[in-house]
Amino acid sequence: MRDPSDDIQELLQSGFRYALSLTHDASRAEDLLQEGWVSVLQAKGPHQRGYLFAAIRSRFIDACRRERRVVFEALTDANELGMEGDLQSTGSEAPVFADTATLNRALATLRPAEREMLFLADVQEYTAQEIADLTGRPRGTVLSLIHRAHRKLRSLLKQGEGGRSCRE
Amino acid sequence: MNEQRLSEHLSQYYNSKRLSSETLARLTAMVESSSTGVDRKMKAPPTAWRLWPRIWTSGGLLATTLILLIAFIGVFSLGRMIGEGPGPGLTGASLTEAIAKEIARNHHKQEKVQFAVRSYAELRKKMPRLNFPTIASARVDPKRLRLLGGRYCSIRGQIANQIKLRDEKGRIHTLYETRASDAVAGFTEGELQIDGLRISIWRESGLLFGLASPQD
Repeated sequence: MRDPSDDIQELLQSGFRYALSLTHDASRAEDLLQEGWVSVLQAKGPHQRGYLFAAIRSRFIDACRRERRVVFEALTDANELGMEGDLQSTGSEAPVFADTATLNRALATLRPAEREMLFLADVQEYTAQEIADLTGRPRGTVLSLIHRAHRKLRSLLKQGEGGRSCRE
Repeated sequence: MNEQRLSEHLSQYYNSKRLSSETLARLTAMVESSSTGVDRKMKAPPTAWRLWPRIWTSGGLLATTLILLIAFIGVFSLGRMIGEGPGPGLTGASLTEAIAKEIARNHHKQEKVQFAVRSYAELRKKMPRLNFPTIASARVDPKRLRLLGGRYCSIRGQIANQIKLRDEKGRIHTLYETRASDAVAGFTEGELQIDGLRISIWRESGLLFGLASPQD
């Protein structure tokens, strides 16, 4: 039988990774996770991923407002990008070259909202509707953001690859 | 360099990131303390209670009483000498008042921070001598009070940290954290006005928190 503390630890690790996708900084991600975790415990909310992610997200937005940083810019509608359909059409399927350092640098260049979408869609494997529910965005906007983030990340990885081979 | 789907790269990247075992243990312990009231358990040292029957039955009651009496008189006198009130035997409101006075004194010293940081996680790493984890209190609104840094200090002889915070008006507040055990175990939560300061004292996650704020 599975130990409940294992589930909690798994939940906390997921929360940390989600916070990391927002901040791209391990120290800030730890703080964010702790703040989110405290609010889940205080609200006596269920120890579930959705609740924890929502708490972390809300704390992150508060922190950005406090620091007067722009977190989530308005996005072009999915139709404008000529893109409709599911997440598979957004370009995560085609192979790409990358190593950890290049990927790390490329992710640092993305906006928090873009990293968040990639994390939720590609790592957590949430559907567009689930992401829309969590983030409070229309599904079309979610698809658009994911598409844009994939395209941007691919381009950055290509540049990283080119830059590396030039130096070598 | 390796060729994979973008989603696989991302999964590998994020799944390789893990919380430190220390932080993980601390956050997991918060579940237990929030559901079982670990804080209250800290007040009663279980080992001392287990020792009582042995002391009674061994016939050393008189000797024990004498030792305790001498120790109490010693601590009482020492407490008076160092000006911290009548010693660590205090409980309840009088202990809270003694803690608040010490916090007010520490606040008015206006010492510089030893570690200028932007986050509590950073501060935790910079202050390894503490015997507890520095945490952000749920009662301190990070929107209103911005973290400037921290330094080592003491509360009732226990190691503590002093965290400097700044509000929107540019006024300095100081937050104190120490283990809610031993010398400060019997305090009661409350708010006091001392030397032009509003001192709030509360218990959270097994720690004693004190916040000194300028009065409005």
